[in-house]
Formats: sequence, structure tokens, C-alpha cells
Amino acid sequence: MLLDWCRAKTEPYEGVNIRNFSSSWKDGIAFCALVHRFFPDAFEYYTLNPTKPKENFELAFSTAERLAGCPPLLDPDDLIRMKEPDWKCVYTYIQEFYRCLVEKGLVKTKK
Amino acid sequence: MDQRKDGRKSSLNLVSGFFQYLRDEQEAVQKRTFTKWINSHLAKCKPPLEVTDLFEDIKDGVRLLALLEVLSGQRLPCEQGRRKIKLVNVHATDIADGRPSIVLGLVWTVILYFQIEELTSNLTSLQPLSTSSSSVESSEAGSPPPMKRKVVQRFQGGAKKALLRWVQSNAAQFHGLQVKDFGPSWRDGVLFQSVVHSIRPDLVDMEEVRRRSNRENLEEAFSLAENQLGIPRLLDPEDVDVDKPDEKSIMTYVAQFLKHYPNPGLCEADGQQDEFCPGDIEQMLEREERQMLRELKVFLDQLEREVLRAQGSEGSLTDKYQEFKSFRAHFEMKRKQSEPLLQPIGREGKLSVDQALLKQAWDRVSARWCRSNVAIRS
Repeated sequence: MLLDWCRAKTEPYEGVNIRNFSSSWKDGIAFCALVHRFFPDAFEYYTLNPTKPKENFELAFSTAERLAGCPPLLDPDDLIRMKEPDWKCVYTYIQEFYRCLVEKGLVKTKK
Repeated sequence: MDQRKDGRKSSLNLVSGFFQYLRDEQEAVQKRTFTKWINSHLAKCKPPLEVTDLFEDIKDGVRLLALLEVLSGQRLPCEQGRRKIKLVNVHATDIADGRPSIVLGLVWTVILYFQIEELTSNLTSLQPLSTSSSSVESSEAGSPPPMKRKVVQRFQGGAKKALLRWVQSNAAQFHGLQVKDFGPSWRDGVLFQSVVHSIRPDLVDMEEVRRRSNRENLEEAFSLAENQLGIPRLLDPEDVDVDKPDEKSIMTYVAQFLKHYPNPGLCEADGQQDEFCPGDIEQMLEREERQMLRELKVFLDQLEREVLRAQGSEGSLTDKYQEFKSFRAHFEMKRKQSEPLLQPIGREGKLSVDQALLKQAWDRVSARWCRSNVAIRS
């Protein structure tokens, strides 16, 4: 399932502990870790700051759009404003990200 | 006295107003996200389509149809000028009215249905869609189209599995118990007791529990839950202590525990994965139930129309009798399915609005049914 996949891909990254599709993504670091996993040259993960969620979101989403062709479905302002990200929205985005990776051949699916 | 009452009332209004605000905000965020998602796929259409206001643009069904085509990679039958495609006729009036929660729920369903699963090939997930598009033409006023049913099943599977996992990891595992279903596993009451115990260990002596009878455990668990945990009784021991207890009612009851005490126990087990937030399981369950009620209502409306038509139609007696027999089969099947749904929830014995509407529709159809029965037989 999608959550397991997220956990597996972000496991090597410090500061990321994905337990759900809402609060775990709140500071934006989890998105960055996931994107960095597939595009490690795009930015330096270790320079990221968890206290700057908006920047993290913007970095992750723009990188994903640029390199994976994943449309930026989530709005950083929405994510910051709510107490916790809406889990359906996060799920939808991750699912779309995954789909784009598959299309680029960066993720293997069993066929 | 009155002043106090008013004060309480107005603070209640404030609270409910606040929650309404949160809900509206959540709706708005979801609307934006889902719209972008839809547009990202509609952009692939020739010519590319776009949705500006989700609730408005979804009403004529054309863009929804295009979306489904893009996602499934197949052409679907579309009747020109028709307001709604049969594929999702279950939500016909609600979609046509653009009701936000319904529309969002529908889009969510579509998203879930078309997600890429690592474990299953894309190709197999397209199969049901092709069979449903061919069954669209059939005039069967019966069960919901295969796609919808599959989605409903999958949804149900998701909530049920998540709830089972919650029980397993929060209660069952600590007492060497395994919970596999919401039926017979719960019969002896031990699982209920373990759930109570996970919230308030001081209330239940699990050693004692193993020595007691089914009824005693069930009764104790339910009354402890009611009196000590504030969870209203939805079940009677007599109904659970049977060979095949009703899964849906047990699930609904257990979900109450989840809702009030999402994280029982002082420490969470390491590596515990919450795939869905506890509150969301509750929401999923409610949504499924509403969905099922609506589906039934639509079926009943259709059935009523069919019955009316059959009553008025010319045609040989044998034709009528054939129709009568097939109606009866559907009718009985639906009646069995809808029985549990029409039970009042909670002790007040009141039906929810959806249930009441459904019951009304049901009664109407039953009445007509009886009349046409009599007519045909005579």
C-alpha cells in the first residue's frame, strides 16, 4: 500500500517518520525526502529546515513537477493554514507522484 | 436557570459554528486539490477539457465521463443530451444538484479506484470497467453497476481492514487474541472486554473474563462501556451470542470506541502504522453507510417505476407473470440486504434522515407491490 511505500522510500532520511497521510507531512520534510529519493541531485536534503514548511513544500512540489511531471495538486498555503494537512489531499498527491514515477520508469510495477 | 440554559445554548452554537467552519475549510481545500487532479487528467483529452468550479461543472456529467475515459483508457458509451451517465447513476440527483460532500466523495472514490497498485496490474483493474459499460444498456433494475459495487466493496474493505487492525494492535494482541472478522470472533465477549481493558485496565480483569460465560462478558463489557467510557450501547448480548452475529452492527459499535478513544493505552507500539487517521475510519464508515442507503433508495425508485409500468402495461398474462417473478426475486434480495440498514441506531430508536427516506420509499414500493400482486393473481 501507498503508506508502506512512502515509509520504505524515506527510511534512510533523518527527521522523517511517516505514520499517516496527515500530520507526518506537516513540516514538508517528508515530501522533500520522498522527492529527493528519486532526484538526489535536485537539491541538498540536509540544508532543509523543518521550521520552514512553506519553503519545503514549494521546493518539493516544484521539483516533482519539473523532474517527474507531477502536477502541483497541493497548495502550500492551504497546507500551512490547516492544523494538519487533509489526508485525502496528501494521499491524492502522493498517488499522483507515484503514477508519474511509474510513467517515467523510475518505479517498477509488477505486470 | 433560563439564563444558564441560554448561555449553554449559545456556546453550543459557537462550538458547532466553529466545527462548521472547519468543515467548510476542509471542503474548500479538498475541492481545490481534487479539481487540480481532475484537470491534470482532463488536459490529456482531445480537445483538452477543464473544470473551473467542481460542483458546477460536474453536473452534466460530460467532464466526469471524459475523466473516466482518460483514466481507464477506454471509450465509454455516452448518450448525447442525457443528463447523467448510467455508470454513476447512483448519485444522479446529488451530482446534478452539485452537493459538495457528495461530489467530493465521488471524486475521492474515483481517485481511489484508479490509483496505481504496485501489487496488481493496471490491466486487471480495467476489466470491471469494461463489463460495467456493457451492462449499462441492460434494463435490469437490480444491483448497482459492477464498478460502483466494486468500489463500494473496496471502500468497505479498506475501512473494515483498518478497523480490524486497530483492534488487533490496540487490544487483541496484548491478550494473545486474534481478531479476524467482526462476526463470530466477538461472540464470547472477550474481545469487547479487551477493548475496554485497553482503555481502562482497572475496569476489567482479563483473567476473570476467560472464566465467564459469553453473556456475562458481553453484558459486562457493554455496561462498562456505557457507564464508564461513555459509549452508548448499540448491541444486546442476545444478538451477539449467536452463531453469526451481525457484522455491520458490531463494526459500527467498535467504531464508537475508535472514535472516542483513538489511542488507547499509554504507549503506542513501535512501528505501528496508522494508514488512516483514527477519525477518518469513522468518516469512511459513515460515508459507506450513507452511500449504501442512497443506492438502495435509487434502486427502490427504479423498482417503483417498473412496478407502475408493469401495472399499466398491456401484455399477455404470461409476460406479466415473468416480470412479476423477477421483481419478486430482486425485491426479496434487496429486502434482506436493507434489513440491517433500516434498524434504528442507538437506543432512542430514531432513524437517521437517510434511513427514514429509505423506509418511506420502501413502504411505498411494498404497498404497490402488494396491490400488483393481488392484481396479477386474480
